[in-house]
Amino acid sequence: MILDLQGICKNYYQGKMEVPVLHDVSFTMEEGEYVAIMGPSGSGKSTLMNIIGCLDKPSKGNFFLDGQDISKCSENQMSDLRLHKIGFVFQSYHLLPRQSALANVEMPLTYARVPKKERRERALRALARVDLSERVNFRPNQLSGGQMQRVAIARAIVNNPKLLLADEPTGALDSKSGAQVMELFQKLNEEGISVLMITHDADVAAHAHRMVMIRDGMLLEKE
Amino acid sequence: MFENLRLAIQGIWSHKMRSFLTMLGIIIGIASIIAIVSTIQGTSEQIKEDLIGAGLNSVNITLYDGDGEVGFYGDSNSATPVITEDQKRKVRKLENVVNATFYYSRSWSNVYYLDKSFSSGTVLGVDQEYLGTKGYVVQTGRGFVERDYKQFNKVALVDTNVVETLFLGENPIGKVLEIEQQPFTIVGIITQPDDYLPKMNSISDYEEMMNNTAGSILIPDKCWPIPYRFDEPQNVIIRADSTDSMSSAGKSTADILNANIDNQTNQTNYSYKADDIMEKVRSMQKLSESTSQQLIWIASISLLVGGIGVMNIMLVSVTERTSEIGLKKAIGARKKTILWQFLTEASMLTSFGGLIGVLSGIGLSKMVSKLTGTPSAISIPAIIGSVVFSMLIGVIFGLMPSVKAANLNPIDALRSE
Repeated sequence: MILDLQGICKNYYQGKMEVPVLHDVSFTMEEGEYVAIMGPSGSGKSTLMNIIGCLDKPSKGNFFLDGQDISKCSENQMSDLRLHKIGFVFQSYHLLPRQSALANVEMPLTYARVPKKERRERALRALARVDLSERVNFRPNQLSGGQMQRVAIARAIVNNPKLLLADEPTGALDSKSGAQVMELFQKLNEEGISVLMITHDADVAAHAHRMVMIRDGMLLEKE
Repeated sequence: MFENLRLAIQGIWSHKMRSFLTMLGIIIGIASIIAIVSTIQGTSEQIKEDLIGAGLNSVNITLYDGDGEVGFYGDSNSATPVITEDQKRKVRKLENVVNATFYYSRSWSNVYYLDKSFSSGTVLGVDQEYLGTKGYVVQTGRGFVERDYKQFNKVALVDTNVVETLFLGENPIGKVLEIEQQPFTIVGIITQPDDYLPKMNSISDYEEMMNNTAGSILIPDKCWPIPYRFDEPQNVIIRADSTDSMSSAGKSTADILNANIDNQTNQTNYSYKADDIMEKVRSMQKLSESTSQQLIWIASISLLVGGIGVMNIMLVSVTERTSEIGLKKAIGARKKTILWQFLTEASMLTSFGGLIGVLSGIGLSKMVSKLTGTPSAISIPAIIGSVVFSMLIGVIFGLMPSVKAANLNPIDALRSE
């Protein structure tokens, strides 16, 4: 099991008022699965994604990522989990604007202290996997939206994560590039990476093996 | 590490104008410090050279009565200490003493050439070592020889000042001077090579020089009693083998001369003291250095202001790059990694500033020395110190913004777009 959430609750504080965002969310995901989480905005799906992405800790409940108990992790251990087990893909790509595609993809490897030569090789291989071998030295502002998202995907997979976490990956793309990106996720999933996608677009969610609805902080499984 | 350096340089380069303006405070601070230090150090070297006279290393040892020099004008009430041949030999054998001379000296005595008085000159009764020790050379005529001393020849040497003031440039050789009514025949003109002359930089230097350079008239010390009759204390000049050994050589000479002074005189306050010119040099250097220290403190204020500027810009930069920091943290950068990245950038910025400051400081001090004629000495420790110090400023003032960056919550940071 790659993900195991047991009775997760998350509350935020607005001043002194406690605002519950997630109620008793339980959810599991097997390795190699492709799951979509759907929900309208304000439903708590971003909060859930932050917890699953080890960016935030739940207020209550247990969360195991690849068998590891997150509640017992230090801040540095959470960083290392993000570095080695999870690949993030964001709606707005989050590429560093002044760096080439290659440098952007290499970045997680520098944090993992991979030697320079190997770093380059692996980054080139990741860019080849997303079909961007010819755009290696382009900067983000020289690339189209779909290409930028593919660079971001290359960056997410370069450190061989177990889980690809995508937050509205097609939200900013036209339908053609969106379809390309979805194809890419499909391909990567077939190659063995688990994919968890958050979206409010039913067509996008339809690509997944399994769909989970979230509403008002509660999960509803949907076949 | 290299990755951080690369990122830092890239960050600085991508905002050239802003980086330069940020560095400006540091540049000005460091440049003024380097300029001050170089100029002061140059002046300090100059003072040393001026006071000592390059290459001569001579030290005066004079008889003191308490704190004042013994003024001896025929006062027969007190017994005069006499320097024995044995003491002279001991002084000459001292390790750092190259040469030593023992002589009598008298100013304001009755000297006439024909009907012209020359009381402003100095009359010296010298031994055969005098010329060599003082660095005099005979310009015209001859110096004193063995025969002059043995036969009590009433001969005299004059320096070029006497030739100018008393003889108005006429050749004085063969002319007769009257010293306290005793006739002395001039046999030679002596001169001091320019190198040995102290340089003058101020009015007080000039006055001091004028006081003892109306001219010197030298006679053999054996003949001293002929015009002056009484025993009187001898002055001593030694020549040390190096500038650094001047103080110690002077002190050891004074010690030898003081060894049996008590037996020779009823004046208990009498003692020989070495004119420690190095001491004077040091105190003058200290003076100029303390001035420079104050100036450096003032210049440091601009470094402080520069540092605050760096902090300011780094804070702006952190805010500007919130989303970049958030992303880096999300994909696995640890707190420490972010902290180092920003610290490296801040210290790179100030180190660059320091480096530019050093270069412009050197240029500035060269310019000042060209304009004012004072020398400048580039101090390597000051340069290294400034660069290290400016780097330190970057670390100190970059710390707060860097901690702020490292502590950013990645969720909030990612959300800010």
